[in-house]
Amino acid sequence: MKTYPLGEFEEIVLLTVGVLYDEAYGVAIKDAIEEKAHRKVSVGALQSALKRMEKKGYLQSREGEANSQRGGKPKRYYAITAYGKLALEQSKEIRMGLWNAIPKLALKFN
Amino acid sequence: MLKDFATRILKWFCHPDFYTEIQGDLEEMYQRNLEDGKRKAAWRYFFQVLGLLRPSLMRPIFKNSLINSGMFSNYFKISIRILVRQKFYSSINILGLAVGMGVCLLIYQYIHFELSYDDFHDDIENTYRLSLTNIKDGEQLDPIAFSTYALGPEGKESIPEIASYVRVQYNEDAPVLINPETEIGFQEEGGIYVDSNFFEIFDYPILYGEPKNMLNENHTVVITEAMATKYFGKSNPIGKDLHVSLGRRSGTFIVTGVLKNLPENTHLKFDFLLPLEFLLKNHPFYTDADSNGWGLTDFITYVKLNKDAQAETVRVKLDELIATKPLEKSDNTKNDWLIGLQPVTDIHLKSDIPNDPAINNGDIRNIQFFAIIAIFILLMAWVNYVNLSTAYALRRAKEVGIRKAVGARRNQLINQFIVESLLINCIAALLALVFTHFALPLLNYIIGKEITFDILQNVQFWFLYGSIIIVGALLSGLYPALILSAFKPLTSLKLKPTSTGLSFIRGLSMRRTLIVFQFLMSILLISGTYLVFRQISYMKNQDLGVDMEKILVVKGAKVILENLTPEGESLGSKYEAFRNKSIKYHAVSNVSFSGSVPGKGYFFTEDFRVLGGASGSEEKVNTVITDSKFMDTYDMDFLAKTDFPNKINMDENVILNEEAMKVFGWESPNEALNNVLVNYWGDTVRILGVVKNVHWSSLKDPHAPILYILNDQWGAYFSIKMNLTDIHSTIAFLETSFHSVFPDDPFEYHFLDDDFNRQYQSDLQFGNLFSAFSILAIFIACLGLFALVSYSATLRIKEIGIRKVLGASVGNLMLLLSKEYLFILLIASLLATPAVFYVGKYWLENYAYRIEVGIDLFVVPALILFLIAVFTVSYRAYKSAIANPVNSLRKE
Repeated sequence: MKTYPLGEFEEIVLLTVGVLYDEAYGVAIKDAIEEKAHRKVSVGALQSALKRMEKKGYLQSREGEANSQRGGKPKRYYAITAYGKLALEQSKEIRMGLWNAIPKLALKFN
Repeated sequence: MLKDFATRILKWFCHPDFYTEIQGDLEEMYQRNLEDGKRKAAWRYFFQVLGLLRPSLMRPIFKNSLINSGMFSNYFKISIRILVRQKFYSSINILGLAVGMGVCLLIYQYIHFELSYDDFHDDIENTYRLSLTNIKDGEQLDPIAFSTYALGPEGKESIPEIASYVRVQYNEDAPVLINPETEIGFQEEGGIYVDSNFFEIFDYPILYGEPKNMLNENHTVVITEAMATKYFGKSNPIGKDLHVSLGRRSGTFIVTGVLKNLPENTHLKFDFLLPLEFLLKNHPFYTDADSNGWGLTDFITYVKLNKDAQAETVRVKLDELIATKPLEKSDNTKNDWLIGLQPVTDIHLKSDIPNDPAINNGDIRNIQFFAIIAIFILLMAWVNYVNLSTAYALRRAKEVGIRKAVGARRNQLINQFIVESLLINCIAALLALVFTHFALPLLNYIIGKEITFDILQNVQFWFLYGSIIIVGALLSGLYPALILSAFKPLTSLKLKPTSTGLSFIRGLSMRRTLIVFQFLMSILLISGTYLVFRQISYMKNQDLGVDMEKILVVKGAKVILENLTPEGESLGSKYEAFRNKSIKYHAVSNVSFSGSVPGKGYFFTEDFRVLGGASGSEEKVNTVITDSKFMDTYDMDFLAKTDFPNKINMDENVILNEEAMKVFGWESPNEALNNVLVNYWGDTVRILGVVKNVHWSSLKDPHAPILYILNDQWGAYFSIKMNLTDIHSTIAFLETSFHSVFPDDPFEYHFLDDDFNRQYQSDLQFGNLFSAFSILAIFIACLGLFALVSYSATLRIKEIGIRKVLGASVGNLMLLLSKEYLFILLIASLLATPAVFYVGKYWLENYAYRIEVGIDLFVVPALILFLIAVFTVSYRAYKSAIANPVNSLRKE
């Protein structure tokens, strides 16, 4: 089986891009992660994850509109590719497989 | 402000493809953050930028790069091509720089070594050596390194800051050591007596044995590796016996420890250690005469303070302690003592004690002096680079023109030439390491020390190395870069490298100035060398008042002392027997026995006054114990003498030297005769004669007042005056007669002049070091000179051809090419004169007997440099001058 390596942070970023669908650009992704995953994200970490996944082919990007808020610089929107979807699915499957394999007793706490 | 700055950084490092997006995001967040205040927003912006410093987001280094590397690789390529094309020029440049840097590194290594003295002991920064300074009638005398026996223990008891102490006693008398099994024996001067806790304070590396209890027992001895090999061969000598023969202090000792050969960088050198406790129990001085350990200043005391203790507090407390003690006080004179605490690591270079007992003591001024020399030699090498690159600039004019024509800016051209100089400096620096590696054994040979090439692990060294390269590249590269980059494209493209072009270069007068500097440095160094060697040869050839070449010194018999019984034959009669046997031989004219010989110091230095004179009229004089034949053996001239009594009682009669006579205030020698002198202990001596001054120690010191105390039972040295016609058979004869009287003693000898001249060894080393550096400096200067002359000769090749055709002689042409440099040499010599004069005078003040700073000091070095320069220049000038003009003129 072909594997699609995906780091934990990358997975979160990729999912968030999916969540935001058409509105996934740098600041929006950062805000969404901070809100949903309750963690601080630096621009550096986020950008390097985005660039890495774009290089791997999980993401594609297009240039968007500019506005004065951004000092005239255009936004860059990200979208999940088919490969990205495969990677996410594979990651989910691995997790589910592991979840299902845990004996009930192991998680039984009173 | 901060935000703009951060943006600029971002723009610089961020990959251009990502920049707009990321900067946009940051901007958006910044706008939003403005609600929290502008400063806060700006700081957040700044930290986000720092967080973006990740390889995945940075622009690649060599493509579209961080630095403009496209051009740099071109500069690099061009530099290499030029290096390869102008082989002569490059190799001279690199060689000069490499030698200059190598000298610098070598001197650094030397200085590093000198500064490392005693730093291998654990926790040495809290260890101090105590010194004593006598204040006599309000006059402060020079400090001495020796203190009293009780100072250490009583100090430790009453002053809580003192954690421990150790006392060291240099043996004034050398014992004979014998391995009882093999009967191998030698007289050894390298022994010291130490307290049993010696190794708690000093960490000399140990080969065998347990440092804690090496010296606990009274009959134990610790020896060095070399001594172990000498007496016991290769086997481990722990537990074996070693007999130490020294009169009442003789005994058989068990070897309890072997030290590795001592590190070179320690002020305290020795061959073997004996327990101090043993000395105190067996030496008559300490058992009889010492007032509770406060009477005799014979011991070097080291104290180790607690970690947080202040040396100054301890010093004050020790001063208070010593004020209550009976330390050599007489009733009427006010005699105070001051304690000094000298850090052990300072002893080697910063000792303020004249005639410091530390072996091979250095001087921080010499270190500074060599550091200055290193810097100047390096400067000379950089000067070469500047001169050569400006001289060769014309060859680059076209290149500069074209670069400018296609749009290069001036700072780009400056960058280019700096890169070039950086490249040359780097190559030279690598060669310098090789040079240092191979030159170090030579340095070791010159200074007589064993420095190992260990600076490579030293961070400080790499820092220095790096800065030499960078400073060198900037310093030597900047000026040529400015000159070359200033060429106007149009002129430089038109320009032909001919002699008229020379005036085009602004660097010409600068170049002359720099050559003056090089010549000046060379002359100064040659003068220094010349001065040092003149002074040494002056000292060696000075009439010492004693004919040292003809005196053989045999180390006195020691083992015999053990076999003498009070009722049996006396030592004096044994000496007499040896004298009578030896004198029978035709070549031996006189034999004498004494406690010391010239160059070996004094017995002790003591206060004496004339009996009947006022108390307080004491004078410090040096004493030497001799027999009554000593003056005859050494051919000392009596200025006055009484008839010697038939039997001279021990230690009751003295002979003064002229200086001592003056010190006690007698106008004429006859006045002094038959007067009686008395010392602190009340011992009296009668003056039997006055002799002319002889140089008892090195000519650095003026004549000192000496009392020759007559005693015919004290033969630490046997002086034998002999005729030098047949040395070998004379010595063989002496050996037989020695062994017939002293059957168990080793026969060891040397000629007095060899030993005496050893006092000048440090001067000789200084001189050798000086000459080595002068040679290297001259080498660098001449390399540059040679290259410059060669270059101007090639520029003027047509001129020379035409002159030759018109009838100029070879001599004329050579003068034409070299007169410029000879003129420069003249200027340099004139400039050097005052410096040589003042520095020379200053240096010579260290010597009581010294040469005069004469005209030869200026003329000889200038002449030497002149000859070297003429030789350098004329080789090249001659080659151009004899060239066939047809060859130079036919090409157009």
